[in-house]
Amino acid sequence: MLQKKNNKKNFISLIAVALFLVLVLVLDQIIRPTDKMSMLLTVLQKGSVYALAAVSMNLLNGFTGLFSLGHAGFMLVGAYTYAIFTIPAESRDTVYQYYDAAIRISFPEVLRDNLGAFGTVLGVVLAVLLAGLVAAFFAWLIGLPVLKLKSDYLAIATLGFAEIIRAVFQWGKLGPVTNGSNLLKSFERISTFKLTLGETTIKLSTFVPVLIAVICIALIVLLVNSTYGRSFKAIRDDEIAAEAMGINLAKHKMISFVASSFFAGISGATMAMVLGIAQASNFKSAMTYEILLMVVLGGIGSISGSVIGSMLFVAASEWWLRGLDSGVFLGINAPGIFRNGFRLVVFSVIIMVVVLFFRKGIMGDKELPDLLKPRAKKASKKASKKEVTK
Amino acid sequence: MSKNILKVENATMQFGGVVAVDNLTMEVNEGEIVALIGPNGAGKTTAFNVITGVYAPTNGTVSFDGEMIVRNHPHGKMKKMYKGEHADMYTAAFVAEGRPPVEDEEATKAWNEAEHARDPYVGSDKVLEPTPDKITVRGMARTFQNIRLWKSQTVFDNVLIAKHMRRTHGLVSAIFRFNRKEEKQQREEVLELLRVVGLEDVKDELATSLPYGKQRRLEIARALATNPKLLLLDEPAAGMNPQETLELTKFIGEIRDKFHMTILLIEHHMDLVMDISDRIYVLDFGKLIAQGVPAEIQNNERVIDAYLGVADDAED
Amino acid sequence: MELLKSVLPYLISGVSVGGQYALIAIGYTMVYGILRLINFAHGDVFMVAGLIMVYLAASMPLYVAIPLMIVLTVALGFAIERVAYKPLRNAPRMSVMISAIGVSYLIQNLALYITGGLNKNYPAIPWISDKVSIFGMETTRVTVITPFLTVILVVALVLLINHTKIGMAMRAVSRDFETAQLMGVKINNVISATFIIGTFLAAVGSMLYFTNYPGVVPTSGGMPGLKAFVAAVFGGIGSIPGAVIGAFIIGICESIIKGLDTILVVNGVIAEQVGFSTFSDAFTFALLIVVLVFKPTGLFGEKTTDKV
Repeated sequence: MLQKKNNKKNFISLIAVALFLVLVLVLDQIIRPTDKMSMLLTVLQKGSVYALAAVSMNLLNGFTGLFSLGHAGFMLVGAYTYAIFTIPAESRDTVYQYYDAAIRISFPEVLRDNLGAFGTVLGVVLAVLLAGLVAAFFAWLIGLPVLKLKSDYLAIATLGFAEIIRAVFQWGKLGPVTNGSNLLKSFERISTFKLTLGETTIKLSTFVPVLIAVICIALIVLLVNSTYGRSFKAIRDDEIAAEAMGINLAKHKMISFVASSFFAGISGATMAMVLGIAQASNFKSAMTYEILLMVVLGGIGSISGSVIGSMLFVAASEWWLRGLDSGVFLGINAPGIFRNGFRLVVFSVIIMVVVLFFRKGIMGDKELPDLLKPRAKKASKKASKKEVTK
Repeated sequence: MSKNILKVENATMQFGGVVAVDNLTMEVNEGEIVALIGPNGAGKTTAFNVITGVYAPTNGTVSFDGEMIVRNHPHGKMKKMYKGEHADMYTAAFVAEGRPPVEDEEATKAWNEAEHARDPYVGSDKVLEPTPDKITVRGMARTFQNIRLWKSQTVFDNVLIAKHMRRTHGLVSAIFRFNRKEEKQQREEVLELLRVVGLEDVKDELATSLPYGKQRRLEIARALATNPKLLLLDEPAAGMNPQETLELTKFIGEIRDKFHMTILLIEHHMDLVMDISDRIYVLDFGKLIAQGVPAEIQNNERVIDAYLGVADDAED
Repeated sequence: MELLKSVLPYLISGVSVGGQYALIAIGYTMVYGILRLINFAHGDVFMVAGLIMVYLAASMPLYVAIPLMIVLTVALGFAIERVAYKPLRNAPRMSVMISAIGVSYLIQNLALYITGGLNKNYPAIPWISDKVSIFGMETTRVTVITPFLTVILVVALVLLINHTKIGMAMRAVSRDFETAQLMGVKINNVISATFIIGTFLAAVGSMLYFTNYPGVVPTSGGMPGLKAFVAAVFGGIGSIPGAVIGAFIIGICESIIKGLDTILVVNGVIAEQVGFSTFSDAFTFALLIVVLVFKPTGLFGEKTTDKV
């Protein structure tokens, strides 16, 4: 009976997600870059990058109770891995201006030569997966020493590791791989993602990042609701009790940390393909803080909350509050006040208000489907009573 | 005589200069309810923590179900600071008394065998200090003095999570739900368990919304969900009124009968202890001062002194 | 001799930077000692002190600007505690830390808005930014006086903590928050005093720090703030002498790593530069992690155990 209730809920969610994906695909076709609504596409693209980043951070901070601040570092690793393995041969020498490029393989290119357009897609997918795996590997290495640490010590140690990763990637000696402190560009990016069917060309530049985010978030949802996810929550609620009930702390913390970093790496890769550049100096701790604030905005411990939080965050900062920076906002013309940077000030004030007065964020620890719950709960109670009498 | 299930030998736990448990030796046999009692601060909970792996003892061993699971000797900083007995008993330097002459091969062999039966790692520096989860997996589950339920989880999930360690599927198969069958079976077992302990009607409530007595019950149910051979209860009746204590006494008896459970418990409510215990160990200032059946303990001078307090010069 | 000569400039600047870190680190370590909170906004307060000085010095003489800057910075530190941390006194630690991160974000964005993101030149303070020569090398006077000033301030602080009533209250609160409260210690006053002392020292530190740098930008506070925090952890969080010693060690190491290429090349150990200076920041964090893993309580910290 429990299964049945869940199945129904899952089914509705699945339909909703599928409809959303179709909608995105349609929007991708009908909105032209010159339209005013093209901001919507930008928001969807960047929003899905941050949504995935926020959800993966939530897996660690919200569900496992490990307060880690190393997210930007793992995203950096993901972005670089993706970029390095998708730079086509012809642009390689211009990108690696000052170095002799060491990695001379581009997945999409190699596979395109063999498999055609499908090969390009496969190559991008492989590069994205590799991005996640490399980030996960870094996380495993880092996790060995730091996961033993408690709350704020863990936060500061992971923050430190993210800074170390950033320094290493900017190191001149690694230039042949990472291009030193210069940026990586000319790799496969969303504007080139298209599907040609005979005469018609279907644009995929928004669909792809959204799809990646949807798939990864779905995986995280599956993980959180699995027996492992439940153990994560047990660790969050009471570590000592969890250990006493046979949950191997080191192992489960590591699983959560590595999984979170895997998805952070993928989000980094998606970010690279959305922005079209990858540069280590962008992945500062400020980025981690922003993601953390998105998680808080949405509600710590809620996946749909993180998605909503990051979409709102991106929409507000990229779109709705733009006017605050450019002189006119809501019809008020005050160039003296509404000048560069005011948007971020308003924004940070909003966030502080949430942090101080609405500590649960938008969703608390509920999920969107839970909003249908009151009815479902009654039904399950009835069903369970039936089972007893049986 | 029934099979021995838990054996603690020469366990000493020293924190800095304070000896919390001093050379404790005790055992629990299958099917027994054994109580560990003593005044506040006697080291009962510390002893529990040593047995369940929360602390590695400074010295001594714990064997469970015929296998040595914890073994330690004073080392590192503790080597100089150690105040307890048998400092070298679990080191390579140890030579037991009464060793027969080497010429007597048969006696030597028998003696060796006996020594190995007592301590399979005899004559080595072997240190065994498993984390609590490893010990729970072996079949020992506990409750806590100050209830430690998972606050954000429902009653049902609290018990279900305890089943996690009995899983046979890995991470990937759990994510993609290849463990559907196992999960279903676990859910059924949990439901059954909740029915037995009388918590089925509140299974969807948050664990912390339960009244105190039921939280205690839930903690016991959660421990039972790990399928233990030995159940350790740390002051299960703490904070209960006489009526609730009476119910709990009955409940513990039921658990022993229904699950054929062996139980080791710490308790202050003497009614409960005397009522259900088969044997009792009494700790005072970390030392074992008495052991025996309830009737013996009730009349033991030293136990009465320990509880009521006695002038210093009267102590032997 | 060659070695000494090549190392000396870095050593001296390291001691100076260390002193500046020490002044920031005390704010971290005192707040952590009492509230168990990493005050992520502390580094930004330090940056704001620099900005306030820039704006004040433009419109009034220095002898007014400097005290006013210190007063304003202290007021800011006090206000942050009252607005952003006090309402969360009974909230989980994670919430307070998030609030601290939020404050840091707000301050940085506010600074970005006000300055327009431009580099603001720090005013030259006569006498302390004069050039002097020691051991035959040119440096500014601030470099020389920083360590001495730091030590004087720290000694004064330690005296304050050990010999005044408010100092005793601070020690009591850091030992046991609840019990101190039950014993009638006015927690909020103690916490405010802690923030006031911490920001005062950060304000003094900012004066010494920015004099040696070309200017102030909104992110100027981040790195020195983090490093000072690492210094506090290294020395054993909650311990003032620990934070100071940690800060000096970090300052010196960082400065030497910055110059390591030059030092090694001059001494013929390596033929060409390998770019160690990239790691001058990373080193601090590596040190942090080593300390946390092997001695989480730092050099002088006290051990606490969880009760089961």
